[in-house]
Amino acid sequence: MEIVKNKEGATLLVALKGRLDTNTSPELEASLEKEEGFTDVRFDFGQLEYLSSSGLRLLFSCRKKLGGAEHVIVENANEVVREIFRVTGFDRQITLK
Amino acid sequence: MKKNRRVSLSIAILVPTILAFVLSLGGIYAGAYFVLQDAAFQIARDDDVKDLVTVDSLYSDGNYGLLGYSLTPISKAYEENKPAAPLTPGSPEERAYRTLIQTAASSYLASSTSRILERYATTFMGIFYEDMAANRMVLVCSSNNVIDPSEQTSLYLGSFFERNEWFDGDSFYGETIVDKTLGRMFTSGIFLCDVAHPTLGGPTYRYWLIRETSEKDVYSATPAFTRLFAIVASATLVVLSVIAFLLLFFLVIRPTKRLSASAGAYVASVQSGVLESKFELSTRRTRNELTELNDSFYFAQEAIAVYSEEIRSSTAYKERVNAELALAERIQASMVPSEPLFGDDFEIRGHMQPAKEVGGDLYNYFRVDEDHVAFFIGDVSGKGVPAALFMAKTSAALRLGLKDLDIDNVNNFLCQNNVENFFVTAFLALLNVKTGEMRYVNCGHEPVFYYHNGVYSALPEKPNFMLGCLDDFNYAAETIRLKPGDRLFLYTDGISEAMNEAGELYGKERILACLNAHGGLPSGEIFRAIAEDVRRFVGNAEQSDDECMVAMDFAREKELTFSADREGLANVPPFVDAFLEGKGERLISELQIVLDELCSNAVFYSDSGDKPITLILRDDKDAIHCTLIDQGTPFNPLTDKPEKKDEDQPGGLGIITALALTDDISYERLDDRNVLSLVKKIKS
Repeated sequence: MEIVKNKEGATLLVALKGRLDTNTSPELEASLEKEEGFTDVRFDFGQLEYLSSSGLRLLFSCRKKLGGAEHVIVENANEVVREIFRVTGFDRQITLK
Repeated sequence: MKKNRRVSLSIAILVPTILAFVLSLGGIYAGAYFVLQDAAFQIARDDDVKDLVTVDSLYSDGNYGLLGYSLTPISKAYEENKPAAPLTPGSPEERAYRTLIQTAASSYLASSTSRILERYATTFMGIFYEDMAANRMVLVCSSNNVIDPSEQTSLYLGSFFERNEWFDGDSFYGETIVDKTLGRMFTSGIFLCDVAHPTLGGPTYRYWLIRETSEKDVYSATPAFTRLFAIVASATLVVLSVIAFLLLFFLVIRPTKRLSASAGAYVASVQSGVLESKFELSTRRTRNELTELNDSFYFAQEAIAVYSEEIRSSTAYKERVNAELALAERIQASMVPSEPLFGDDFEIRGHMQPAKEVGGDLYNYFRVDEDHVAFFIGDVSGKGVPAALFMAKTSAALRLGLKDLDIDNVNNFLCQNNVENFFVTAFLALLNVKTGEMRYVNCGHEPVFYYHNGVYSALPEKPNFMLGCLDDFNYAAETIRLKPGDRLFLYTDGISEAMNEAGELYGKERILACLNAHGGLPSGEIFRAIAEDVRRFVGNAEQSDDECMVAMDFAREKELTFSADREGLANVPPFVDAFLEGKGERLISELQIVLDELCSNAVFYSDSGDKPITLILRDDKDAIHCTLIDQGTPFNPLTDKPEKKDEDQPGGLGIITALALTDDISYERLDDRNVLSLVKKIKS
């Protein structure tokens, strides 16, 4: 999985390419832990094939850390990912664009 | 050797018996006759009657003087009182003389008539006495004729003398004795009458003594006779019985007992299993039914011995042949693989049901190298042992020649020394299991059915000639690239030409229809479905040919075994990707998510330790089947909550996802394993 991170003010921009699953989520988790000083995070899932519950857990811990659904934004998610969000109720836990 | 005379038992017994019977009868009658005669003569020797002569002899002589000196009291009286001159009938002298004679006769009758006449019981006899000088005769006669008791004796006698023209009927003296014990009347008496003498003429006095008596008197007079008769008759009967018994004993009973004993002993020897001869040929010079029966038994015994020996040897031969056939069957069975051949990317299995013990159908499959497998099916012309022998040769040749699909060489080998002109139809294929590229040659065999995108159809092929017929034939191979999930179904004419009782063939169309009806089944089940359908079609008709099928599944099912840790888990996505290649991104993504959830569950929550986890993927016509097997503690992810390791995270997301993205999930605890099965339908 490729992770591309950028900062835009207090917003951390994370673009993911590949799959976010049990195997790859520790990598993303470690990568996010390195970042400091942001209040919002915006994920670009345009290149993400899918994510599994370990990815969901990562999103959830971000939301918890940043304090609300409006601080975690997911963009360009494909149908499969959107389906996962909907099925798990995550579409209400984060901001899906 | 002297030819033996045959005397029938019935003749041997009947003839002597009849002869003895006749002789005995003769003996009895002769005995009776002589006894009777002796008795009569015994009487005749009595003094009183020694001078009796028959009337007939008297007459034949014509000598009346013969009776002139009769010693009987009558003649005595007559002699002593003979008148000097003829008496005048009716005169006092004549009456006195007549009375004198009558008295004498009467007293004689009273004393001895019963003895006098016994000798003459059956004939009319008499004493005839004549006084030549006086022209007088006395006649004593008797008859056994029955006389009606109501009639006068004189009438009867009168009729006699009338015939003789001597009897004037005037003078008669007689008395009647009635023997009531016999119920018959007998007459006896003395008659004095005047007759005209035949030569002298003139009236003549005649005296007649008449007595009739019965046989009873004869017998009672000779009591010895009955004893003798009884002795003779009894002795004859005894002799007869002895003769009959001896004949029966020697001719029938003894030989029959011997026969019976021999037969019993023979049966016992048969039952004991050790066949022994118990009958000897008869050595008797005279043959009869029983000697013939004995000889028949003897010959039957000989024939049975020969026959049972034949049965023994032919049974032994049959057993040997059967044992060899059974061995041949085993050898032949060992020439075709009994176990399926599995690989990561393929599965080949075969099915063989010979019509006879050994058959001419063959199939085989084997790995050629890391990347290639070869398989073939064939049918040798003919059936039974000859076909099986040629099949063995073919099988070996194909096994060697198939490595590089060198069919020309195999054909040339089979053509060599093929004196019986066997030939083989075969379908041969060489598959690259990595790429799916399959090269194949159909040598005059039935079309092969190809399963692609959920439908069976005939595999396109180039026409080639049967193996073993034409030297140096160039076989043209065809190439196809198989896709995962593709299958091939191979069969012999034992399937396509299975015949029902109406003589109809099962046919390729029915095979195709049956295959398409069961397309999603595993290949082992396909065999069963086809075999059942064929059997239903054939009904009660006999299996006419070997039944042989081979199925090859390409990349249909794949199995991954990985260690129960993060490193092992990393093998899952590429494995799933490879298996689902070309099935569409969405399907792949969804299945990847589901399998990620379930596999990580198994890795992190099942406590499998160092026991590996197995993931099996199977591609069916319209769905992907996944089976996940771990050997950890019993854990049903569908109902059990995982022990949370991270309190901050929402639990159960994984299983929610998995349930949402699959069409069916089920859990089983089998032995000491957790088996999770799921189905993901392929949406077209």
